[in-house]
Amino acid sequence: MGNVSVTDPDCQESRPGALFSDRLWALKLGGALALFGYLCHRSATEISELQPDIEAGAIQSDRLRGLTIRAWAYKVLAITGDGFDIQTSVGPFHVTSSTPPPRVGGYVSILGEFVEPRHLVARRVQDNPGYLWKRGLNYGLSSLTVVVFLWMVRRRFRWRPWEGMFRSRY
Amino acid sequence: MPDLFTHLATARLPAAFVRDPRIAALVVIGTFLPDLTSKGFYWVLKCTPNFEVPTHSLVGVTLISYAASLFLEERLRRAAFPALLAGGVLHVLVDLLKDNMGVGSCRLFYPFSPRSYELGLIDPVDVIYLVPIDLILLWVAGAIERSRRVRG
Repeated sequence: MGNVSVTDPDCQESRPGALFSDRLWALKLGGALALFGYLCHRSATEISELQPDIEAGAIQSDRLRGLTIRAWAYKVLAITGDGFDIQTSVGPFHVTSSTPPPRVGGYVSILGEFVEPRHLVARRVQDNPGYLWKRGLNYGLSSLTVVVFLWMVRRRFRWRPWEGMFRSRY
Repeated sequence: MPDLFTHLATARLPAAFVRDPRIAALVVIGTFLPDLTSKGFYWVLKCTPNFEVPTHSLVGVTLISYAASLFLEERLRRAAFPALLAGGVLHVLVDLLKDNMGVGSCRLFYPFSPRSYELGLIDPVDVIYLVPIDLILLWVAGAIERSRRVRG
């Protein structure tokens, strides 16, 4: 009786099929990226109509009237009688708010509506204490996580650009 | 976004049940992709937050996962795609925990619906406080992997 060698089922891969084969690889990748790019471009205009960025209120408020604006983590520049001013990339905005004013230099998130250019009436104000160090730590930890994880699993894959960018070691 | 350490911890749990170590790694890599894409748009291409919406929608995650799977060798792609996709979907589900003041954290069904969803459980600024929970999840995932190895 001859020797019979059977490959472990875990090491057997199924045929790739049309979507995953090397045939027309660039076209498949280009198609997926083009469709994704189209979606991003479409959302930039479509979602901006529903939920504009606060910076849109610098020049026009009529188009934005009645729309909810959510401004996340903006620095408080000054406290005024009826609210406070915040710093944005297009200059200061005034926020009318009935909630107790946060401290100058702190960060706040705001939910509100425009009543005139650069002037919001807040429905809700959320104080963001420690925003800068928490955000910095978030980005630092996230970057470290990706780098360390990819380094740990690097032996499971090999760099083979001519056979797909990452070839498994098995 | 919750930090990617939290996303790593939540993805390691289901990945611990995957026998193939390459596929297990791809589940975790898949959970990194939505944020790597959106932050790439934001920091490198200087895009507005509304441009990044599809990076955290189910259709967008599917396209990202498919494109990423094409960079793997041909015979692995068919198994890699669902692994990357599972990681990406898990990422979006974890992001739903955020409290975005009621306006929603993910437009899950974009482009079919622009509606945004959130569970409103944690302030996005405070996600760093999830690290102790992440460590417990990682310990549990490690224990599951060890017990599976022992059982062979």
